[in-house]
Amino acid sequence: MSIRYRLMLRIIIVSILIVGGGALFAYEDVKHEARELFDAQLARSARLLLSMVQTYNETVDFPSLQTRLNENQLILDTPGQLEEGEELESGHVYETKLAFQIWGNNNDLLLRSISAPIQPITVQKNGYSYQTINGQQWRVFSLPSKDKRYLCLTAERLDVRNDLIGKISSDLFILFVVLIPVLSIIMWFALGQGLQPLQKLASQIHRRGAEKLDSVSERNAPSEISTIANAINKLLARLKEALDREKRITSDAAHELKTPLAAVRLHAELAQKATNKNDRIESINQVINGIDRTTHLVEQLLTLARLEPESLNLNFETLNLKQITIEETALLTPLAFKKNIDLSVSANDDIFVKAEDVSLRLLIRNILDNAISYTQAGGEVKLTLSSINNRICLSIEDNGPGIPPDDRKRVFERFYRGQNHETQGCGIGLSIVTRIVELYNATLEMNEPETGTGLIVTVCIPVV
Amino acid sequence: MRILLVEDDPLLGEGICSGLRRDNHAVDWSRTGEEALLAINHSSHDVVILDIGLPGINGLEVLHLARKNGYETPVLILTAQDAHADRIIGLDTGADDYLTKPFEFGELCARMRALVRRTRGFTTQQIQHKNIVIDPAAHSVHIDDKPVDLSRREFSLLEELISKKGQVLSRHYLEEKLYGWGDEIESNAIEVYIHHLRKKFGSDLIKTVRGVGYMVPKE
Repeated sequence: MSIRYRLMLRIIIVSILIVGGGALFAYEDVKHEARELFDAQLARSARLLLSMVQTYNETVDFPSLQTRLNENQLILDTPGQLEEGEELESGHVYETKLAFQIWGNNNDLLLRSISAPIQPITVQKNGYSYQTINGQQWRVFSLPSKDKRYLCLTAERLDVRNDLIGKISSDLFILFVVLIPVLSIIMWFALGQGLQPLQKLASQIHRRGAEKLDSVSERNAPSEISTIANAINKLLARLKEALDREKRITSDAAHELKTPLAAVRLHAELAQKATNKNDRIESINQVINGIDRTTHLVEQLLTLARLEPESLNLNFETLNLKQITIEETALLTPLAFKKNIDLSVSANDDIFVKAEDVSLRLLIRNILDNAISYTQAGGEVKLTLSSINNRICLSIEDNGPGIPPDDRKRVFERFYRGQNHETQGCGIGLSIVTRIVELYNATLEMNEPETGTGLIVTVCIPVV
Repeated sequence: MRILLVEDDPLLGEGICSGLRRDNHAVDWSRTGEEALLAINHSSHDVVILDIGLPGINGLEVLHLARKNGYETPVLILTAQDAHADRIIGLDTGADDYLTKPFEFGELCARMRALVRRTRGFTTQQIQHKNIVIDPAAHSVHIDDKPVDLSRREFSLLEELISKKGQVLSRHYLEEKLYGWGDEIESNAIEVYIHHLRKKFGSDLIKTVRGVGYMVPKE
């Protein structure tokens, strides 16, 4: 359901409640006020009549007055007009719905309007009452004179006031019936207008291709939309960053693969052209060597790609760092043996860390592999595990040539291989290390040993 | 030819070196920009093969510095960077040719020969002197269309003397052209090779200028 429909529904319901409630209240109020007004009129008429009668007290000739009154009564041309309730030249049809009686103290009817019956309209001697006469509801006011000689009754048929109330309430109902649809139509367009920024944002995003990741416009947008636009822009920025990184890695990798491929091709070509067996064998050996190196490069690149945040699914578990360090060291021992490097691990107790197995092993393996590779034959590589202030530190120390402080930042760059050419590496190992260090919120430091040359790489993982 | 190779990748460098040596060239191999600058300043080469992505000073900086100091030897850039912008920068910095990895070894050799030919002022591949025709690409020498069998260094020496005919070339210069850095030079090697060449082509071909060196006189 669209926001527009949802809002419309709510607005219509609320409008019906408010307008309907208002109309009901107005209706009740009008009914009440009309009744009071009519009641007041009844009382005022009674008072006037009574006063007149009292003024002329003994001299009033009631029978002739009654005759005059009868003579002056409203003549209706057609009975139908009675129901119309319209103004006439000679009076108003409502006159027939108004009545009065003046009674003497001997229960004698002194005067009455033509519309009034001969019997008393009410037996009540004082105040307001309701009466039913000939099937018609009347509102009656009884006012006795102070000396009790006269009793004046004024009456009004209820349908007169009900007519008025009905008229007002029907007006209110028409207003209600007309107002709600009109309001709805206006609201429908107003909502459309109001939701336009959302439409604009949607069409902005809709028109985009997969390659267009620059931010959407937040200009002139209302605050709700700019919040959404802002969130979208942040997402787009993250996406762009990931895509750029992907592109860079792909391009770097392609470039980096070209050199070993060139070497493989060259050696293969030389083997093809070789004029003697020794040359050919040497070239073919180099082809194999080149393929191994290329394979290693591809493996390292894949490892790095797997460590990218988009493809990462780390399963943290409690691992025995001492155990893993020993296992990884054992794996690289043959390499150290070949170069006659003295390899040792020193750790006192088992140390447990919350980590992911594969990446933790990669971290140790890559640093250790570097240390062994860059240390000259007959050198020494020492691994030390320690636990300091909520941090678990692994330091790998070698007595190789070390890295000049100025170069220490550069070694973490992808494909940087340093100045040592005897070592065949692809320059990705430390990029992998950096990535894992970031993953674990760990720190990595490079220092010189206190005596002699070499390098100490220390990785400290915070204990969660 | 004596060639300076600047390449940091051990496997590729080794391949180019052994390929060029098998083709009877003297090769010096520098693995960093610093080493390359030293070689450029202290030895004379016929052509330089230069990689751009080097540790330390990169290839373009090496080229820029060398050209600034008036280094005239033709330079061929051999790199993995194959974008047009990279090629333009490379050539504008002073390279004479640009080849991207992976490459065909035969093409690399042909491009180097072309560069050397241009600096020597020849337009054809073959070098002719009287009835002698030298083909550097095929490593062959003919007298009156008959092939002459020459050793690798004899060939290089003859090529050097004939391509610079009319100039007196010192024994030291010739030694530099014939031997790479690691090669052992016997004290009278050049004299021996001159002797061999005179036996094969007649004693008139190469003149000795006492105390100075050797030359092939112009026709």
